[in-house]
Amino acid sequence: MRHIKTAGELFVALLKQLVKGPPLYYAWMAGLAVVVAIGGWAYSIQLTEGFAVTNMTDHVPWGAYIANFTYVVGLIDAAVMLIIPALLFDRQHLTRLIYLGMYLALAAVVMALLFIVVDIGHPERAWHLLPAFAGGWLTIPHSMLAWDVLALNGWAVINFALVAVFFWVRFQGHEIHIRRWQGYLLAAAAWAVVLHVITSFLYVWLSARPFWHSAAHAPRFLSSAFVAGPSFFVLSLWAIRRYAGVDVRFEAIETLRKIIAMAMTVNLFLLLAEVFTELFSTSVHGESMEYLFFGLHGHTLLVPYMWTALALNLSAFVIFVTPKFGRQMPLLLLACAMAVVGVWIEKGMGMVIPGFIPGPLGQIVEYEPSKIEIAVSAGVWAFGLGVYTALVKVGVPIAEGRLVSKSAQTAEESS
Amino acid sequence: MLKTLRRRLNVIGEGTAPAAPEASDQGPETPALAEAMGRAQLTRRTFLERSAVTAGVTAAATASGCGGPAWEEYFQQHYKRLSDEDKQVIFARLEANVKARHGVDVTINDPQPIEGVEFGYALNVSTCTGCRQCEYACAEENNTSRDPEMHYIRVLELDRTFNVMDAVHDYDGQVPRDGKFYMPVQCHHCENAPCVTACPVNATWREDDGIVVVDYDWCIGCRYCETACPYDARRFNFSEPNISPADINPNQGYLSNRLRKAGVVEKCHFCLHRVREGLNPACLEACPVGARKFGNLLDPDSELRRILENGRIYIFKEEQGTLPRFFYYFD
Amino acid sequence: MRSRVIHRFIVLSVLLPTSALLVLGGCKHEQNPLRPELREVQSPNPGRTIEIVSRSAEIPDYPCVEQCHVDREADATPRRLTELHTDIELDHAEVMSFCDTCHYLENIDEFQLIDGTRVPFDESHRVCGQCHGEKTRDWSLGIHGIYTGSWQTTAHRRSCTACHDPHAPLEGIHLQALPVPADARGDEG
Repeated sequence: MRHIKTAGELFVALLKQLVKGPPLYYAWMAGLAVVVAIGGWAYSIQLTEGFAVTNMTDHVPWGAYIANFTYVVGLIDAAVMLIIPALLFDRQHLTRLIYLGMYLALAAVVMALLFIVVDIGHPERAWHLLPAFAGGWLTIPHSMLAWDVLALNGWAVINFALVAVFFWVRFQGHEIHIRRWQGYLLAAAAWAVVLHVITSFLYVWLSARPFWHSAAHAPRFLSSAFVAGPSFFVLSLWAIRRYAGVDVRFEAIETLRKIIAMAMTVNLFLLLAEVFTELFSTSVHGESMEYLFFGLHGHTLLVPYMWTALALNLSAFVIFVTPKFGRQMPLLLLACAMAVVGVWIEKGMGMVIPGFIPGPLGQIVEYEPSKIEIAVSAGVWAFGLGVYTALVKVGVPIAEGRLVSKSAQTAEESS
Repeated sequence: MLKTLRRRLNVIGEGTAPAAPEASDQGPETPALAEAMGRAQLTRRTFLERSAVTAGVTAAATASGCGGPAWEEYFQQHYKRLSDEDKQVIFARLEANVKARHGVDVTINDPQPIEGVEFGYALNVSTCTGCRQCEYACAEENNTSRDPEMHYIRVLELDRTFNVMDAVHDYDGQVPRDGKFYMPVQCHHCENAPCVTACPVNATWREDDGIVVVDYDWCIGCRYCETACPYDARRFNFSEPNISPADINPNQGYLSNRLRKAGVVEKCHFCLHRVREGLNPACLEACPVGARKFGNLLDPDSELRRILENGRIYIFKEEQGTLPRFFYYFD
Repeated sequence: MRSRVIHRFIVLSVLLPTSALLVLGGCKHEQNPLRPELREVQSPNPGRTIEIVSRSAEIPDYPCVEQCHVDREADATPRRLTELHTDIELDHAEVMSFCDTCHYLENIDEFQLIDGTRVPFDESHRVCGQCHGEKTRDWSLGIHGIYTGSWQTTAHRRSCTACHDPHAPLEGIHLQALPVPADARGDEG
C-alpha cells in the first residue's frame, strides 16, 4: 500500500518536473514535437500508400531506416563505454555519470525499436515475433533477426528496469551503493555488447552479400559504436552541464576522449584493412567497396558522402589523438560532432547500401532516401532526442536528490 | 526481307497449340510464329487496357470502403497451425473477399505434397533464347501485380564468359543475339535456403516436396529474406498489387498464387497449385524452345534425373552451399 | 585487486553463455537438417506415358496426297523450285540431294530412311536421327526438346520438325523478346 502511494507520488512528481521549465526547454521540446509530427504524418502516408513512397526497391530492400537502426544500436554502447571503465578500472568521475549514459541508452533503444517498426511492411503483425508458446513464432535459434529482436527487447527491458529502479531508490531518498549495483551494471554492459555484435551478425552471415560477409565487420561495428556513442555522449554532456547544471569533471571528459581516440584508431585501422582486402585484389567481391569509394560503371551516388565521412573521421581523429587539441573544449566538441556525423554516414548509408550494389545478379540500382523516409527518420530521431531530454530533465534532479518523496523530505528535515 | 524474318521465326513450335489470335496473315505452316508474335502483341495491348481497368478497380475498392481488416484476419494463425476446419473458414473468407473486391469467383485450394516426390527443375542454357515468354506466363498464372509490374523470373543475357556480374537485364528485340547466352533466374528452392534461415517468424519454409513457400498472411514484411537470397528471387509488394479482374487466374493455391497484399514478400513457388496436381509449372508450358524441364528428383526414371545424370550441369552460385533444386545444363 | 578479478569473472560469465547460445544459433541445425542423397524409390507414377504431338495435324496442306499430289508426281530432279513450294530453299547437309532424301515420293505423306524404310510423317526424329544420333538420343531421353503436359502422367513431346526447319536448319531459332519488365529497365551489369 505504501509502495503504491509512493509510486503515485513519483509519477506526479515526474510529470510536474516534466512540464515546468525555462522557455528554452519549451522551445526545444516544441521544435522536436513539430519534427515528430511531420514524421508521423509522413509515416501515415507510408502506411496508406505502401512502401512505394520510399525509394527502396527489390534491389535495395533496406535503406535509411535500417541504416539509422544500426547507428542507434551503436549509441546504446555509449552507456556501456561508461560502465566498463568506470567500474572495471574504477574511474570515480565516470561512475557518477553512468546514470546519464543509461538515459541515453534508453532513448537509443526506443529509437532502435521505432526504426524497426517503421521498416516492416506489416507492423500490426508484430505479435508474430512473440515466442512460439505465446502464439507467435520467433525463430530462435536459426534467424539472426530473431536473435536481434530478443536482444534488443531484452535490452529495452533491462535498461528500463535499471532506470526505473534508480528513480525509485533515489526518489525515496536512499543512496546508491555502487558495489551493490555493479554486478547488474556489468551484466547489462555485457548484454549491450552482445546486442551490438548480434546486430552486426545480422549482416555478416549473409554470404549472398560479399560486402558484409567479412569477419572484420563485427569488430568494426563495435569500434565505430565506441566512437559514435561516446562522442554523442560528450556532446550531450556539454548541453547537460550547461542547461541542467550537472557537475561534469574534466577528468570524465578526458577519459571519454581517450576511449574515443583508441576506438577511432581501431576503427580506422579496420576500415583500412577492409578497403585493402577488397580493393587490392581484382575479385568481383570488391565491387561494392569500389562502388562506395569510386563509383561503379558511372554510378557514383555514394562517393561524395563516403569521402566526406572519411574526411570528417580523419579530422576528428587528429583532434582526438592530439592532447593539445583534444583538451580544448570547443575543438573537442567539434571533433565529437564530426565523429558523430562521420560514423553516421560510414555506418549507415555507407554500410547498408553498398551491400546491395551490385545486386546478386549484377544489377546496379542506386538508392538515396526519399523525402518520406527522411521525414520519418527525422521524426524518430526527434522522438528519441525528446525521450533523452525528458529523461535528463526528470532524471538529473532525481539523481542529485533534489526530487524526493515527502516522507524522505520529512526524514531529512527531522535529522 | 520481312519474309525471311518470318521464315526465321517460323521454326518455333509450342506445346499446347492454341489458335493464333492476331497473326492470321501467316504462311500455311507457321503456327509458331503466329503464336509468338500474337502473344507479344497481346501482352502489349492488354498492358494498356490493364492500366485503365486497374485505375477503375482501385477507385471502386476505395469507394466501397472496405474498412479495417477484421478481427479474425488480424489474429489468423500460421498456416502450419491451422486445422482443416480453420482452413475452410479462411479459404471461404478469402474467396468472398476477392468476390467483393474484384467481382471474380475464385477457388482457393491447398494441395499437399505428394509422398515420394521432391521437385526439381532443370533449364537448358544452350537452347534458351531469352524470349521472356516464361516470365510473362508466370505473371499471368500467378496473379502477380501488373501495376507496379512484378515478375518472379529475371532473364539474364550473358556473354561467353558467363560472368553474371556483367549480365544485361534490359536487352530487347530479336533474340538470341549472336554470341549470347540467356539464363532465366527464379527461386532455386534451396535445400539450405538462406531466406528460410533468415525469416524471424517462420513465414517462409521448405515443404516436404522441396518447394519453399511463403505464408502471405504471416509475413511481417521485414525483407530480411530478400537480403539473404543469393539469387534475387524474392519480391516485396511495395504497394497494393493491382490486377484487373479479367486477368485474375481463378485457380488459386493458398501457399501459391492467391492474391497478395501490400507489405508482404512473395516469390516463385514452382506453381505449387499446378505441380501438386501433376501439371507442369506455367513457365515450362510457355517455353517455346523446350529449355525447361521439371520433374521428380526421387524418381530415377524421370527425365530430370536423366538430365542430372547425363547432362553437363551448372549450379548457379554453387559456392554458396545452398543446394538448389534448380539446375542449369548445357546439351 | 581481488575485486577486479571478480569483476572480470562476472563479465566472462555473462559473455560465455551468450556466445555459446550464439554459436548454437549460428549452427541452424534444427531447421535445416541435411537430407540424405537422392533416394532411389519406386516411381510414384507407373502410369507415365509419353505422346508425340502430331506434326502433320499442324500443316494445313496435309495430307499432301489428297490435296495436291494425287495426280501430280513429285519430281526428284535437283533444281530451284519456281512454281510451287517456292518458300523452300534447301540448305542442309550435302548428302541431302533433294526431296527424296527424306520424303517418300511414291507416297509423299510419308518419309523414307536412307535404307528405304518408310516412316510415318509424325516420326521425323527417325529421319533426323540417321545423322543426328546424339541429339536424337538426348531427345528420346527428354534432355532435348519440348516436353509439356504433365511431369507425372502423360507428357506431350514435340518432334524435331516442330521447331527446326529441316530444309534450312542453320537459319536457327529467333524470336522477338517480350518487353523488358519495369524493374529491369536501366539495369546493367
